[in-house]
Amino acid sequence: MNAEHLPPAPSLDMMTSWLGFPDTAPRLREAYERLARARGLEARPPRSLDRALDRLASWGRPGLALADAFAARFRKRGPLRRRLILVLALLEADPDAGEVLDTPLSRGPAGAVFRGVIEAVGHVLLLLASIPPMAVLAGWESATGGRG
Amino acid sequence: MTVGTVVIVGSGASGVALALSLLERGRKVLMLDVGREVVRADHPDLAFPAWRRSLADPAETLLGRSGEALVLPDHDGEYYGFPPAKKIIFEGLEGFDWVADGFAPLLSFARGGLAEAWTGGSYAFTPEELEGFPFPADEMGEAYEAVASEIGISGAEDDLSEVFPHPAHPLPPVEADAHTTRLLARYDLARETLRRKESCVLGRARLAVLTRDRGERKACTRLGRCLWGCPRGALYTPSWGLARCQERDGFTYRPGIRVLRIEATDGGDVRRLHLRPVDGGADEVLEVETVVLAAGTLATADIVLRSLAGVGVDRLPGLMDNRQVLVPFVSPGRLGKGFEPESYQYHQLAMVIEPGGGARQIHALITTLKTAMIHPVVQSLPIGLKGALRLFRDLHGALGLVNVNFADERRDESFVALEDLGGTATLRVHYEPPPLERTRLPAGLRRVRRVLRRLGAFAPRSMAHVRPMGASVHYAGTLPYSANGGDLTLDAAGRLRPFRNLYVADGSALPSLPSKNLTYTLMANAWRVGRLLGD
Repeated sequence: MNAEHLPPAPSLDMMTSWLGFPDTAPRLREAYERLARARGLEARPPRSLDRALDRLASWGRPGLALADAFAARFRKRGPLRRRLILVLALLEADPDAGEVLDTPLSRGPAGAVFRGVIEAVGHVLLLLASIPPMAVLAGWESATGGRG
Repeated sequence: MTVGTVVIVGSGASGVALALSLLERGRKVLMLDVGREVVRADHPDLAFPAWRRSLADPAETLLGRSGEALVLPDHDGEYYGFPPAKKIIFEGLEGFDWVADGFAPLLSFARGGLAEAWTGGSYAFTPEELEGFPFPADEMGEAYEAVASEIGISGAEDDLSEVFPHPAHPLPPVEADAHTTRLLARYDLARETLRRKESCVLGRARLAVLTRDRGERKACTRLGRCLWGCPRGALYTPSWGLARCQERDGFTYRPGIRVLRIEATDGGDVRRLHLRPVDGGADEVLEVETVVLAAGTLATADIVLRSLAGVGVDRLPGLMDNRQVLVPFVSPGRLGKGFEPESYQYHQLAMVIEPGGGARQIHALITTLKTAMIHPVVQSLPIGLKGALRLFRDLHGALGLVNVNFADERRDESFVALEDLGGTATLRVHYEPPPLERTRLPAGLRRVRRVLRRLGAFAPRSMAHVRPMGASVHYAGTLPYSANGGDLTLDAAGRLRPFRNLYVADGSALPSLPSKNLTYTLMANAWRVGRLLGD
């Protein structure tokens, strides 16, 4: 089965691109599909909340950012987060992406602390922004069973 | 079988040390072993980044064909971080059934045993810790030095020399990474305070890692591939010792064999071993003169209990293990400074704390984070994954982990037994923590956190992880040395009472368990038993 046509969105291309590695999807695809199958990540999520998260995440990079923030707080073990972690693991195994991930973004303690604050504030804002669309999508998924 | 042959069961750290000691004294040795072979790492000159680039399928090598090393958030059970290449070390054996409560055992049926996956920490017991052994501490001192000269132990003559007297002259230490160097510099500044207020000493780890070439094993050049198996053999594993045995006359290695039980006369004369080929075939009987069990505490217990099932012995009390607590920490001064993938990956520092109040010594190993897989850590940060990944890149070079070990003692409540479960003889491993653990663990951890603060590091209390018993894989105590005699105890030569020609030379033999890795002591004890048997 092609990962692009697995029932849940988002696609591998979208996830790698959103994580900052837009060119890696072709070489990660075979391993992604194999491991997604091995770890049961290709099935349609039975919970309406998870289907709503997938739907939100499929709205391009802004949707994925909102879904990621929501999942980090409310669905840490959900299928979306599991797929994102799989992609992260594949990126760190990839020689090119791995070398990028091995380098710091800041140039010292002050820069790192500043970046940490920015990330924390950014996460809170994304989390707040994710609640309204998630409420609508989850309600819709719950009402229609995702068949709409 | 040749007259005078000593049969050793198991090829782990103890069995191999014993075999080398016997061979050195001209004895003949037959080693019986399940002995699944661990594949040696290749490309002995490629550092981690270049090695990763050289892999045909990096995802398969680093994460496993089925994602064995992939840690997803619903991961339950203890995370060991073993790479796919080391999976075979912990694979079970069909027909070797066990159940456990209060304990999460790891067993190995691999060539070289559990120490094929050890981290090289080589910490001798002190004379005080050897007090319960029915022979002088000097005997062990001599054996510690012999083992050190065989395997090569690196370290420094520093504050830890007070508490780890062996080896007397270690090889120079592995070159420290920048984070380790920073912690050491902070220790130098705070040394007197740490000694006075926390009864703590710290120094370079004692490691079974060569820093000078020794035959086929080459010195550590900091390839940063320790986790995946050292391709240079700098980190000693028993399979290297086994290879040395195989070069000697008088040594026979027979893999593919499980020893089921021992058959002895009423007078305690062991005459036969009952063997089962692991890949099928009929059971065999082997006539023997002298047998040494070195299969590891749990597998040795299984053999002894199966052998004594007919005479009403169904339990071996006194199982011990070190409780371990993992304490992650951050050195804020290292934030945003990156890390060195080309460095020794396991612990480079060790510390000893005397907690006082009747509690026994705490031993802690300090590891700075390097090339271990990062996705298990990134997902633990309390923000979205993309932000966590960016945050982690700045954190990576500042992160470390203290592995805190607590001592254990023999108690009847913790035991290994053989039970009939559904018609199958099954090993039951039962452990009950010592009553004072609930107070001593938090007190010990408070002290570790205070020490870390003095070293300029911060350890969030909520991140400490108490590992389940069994996770340290320091199993011991079920057939202990005893000066007082008694069946199913060992005399000073390692002979199991009441047998005449049956010996035990693995963790089962320890009458007490200090808070430290016991592999070096197991090797030294086995070496000593070999000397006594061989002379």
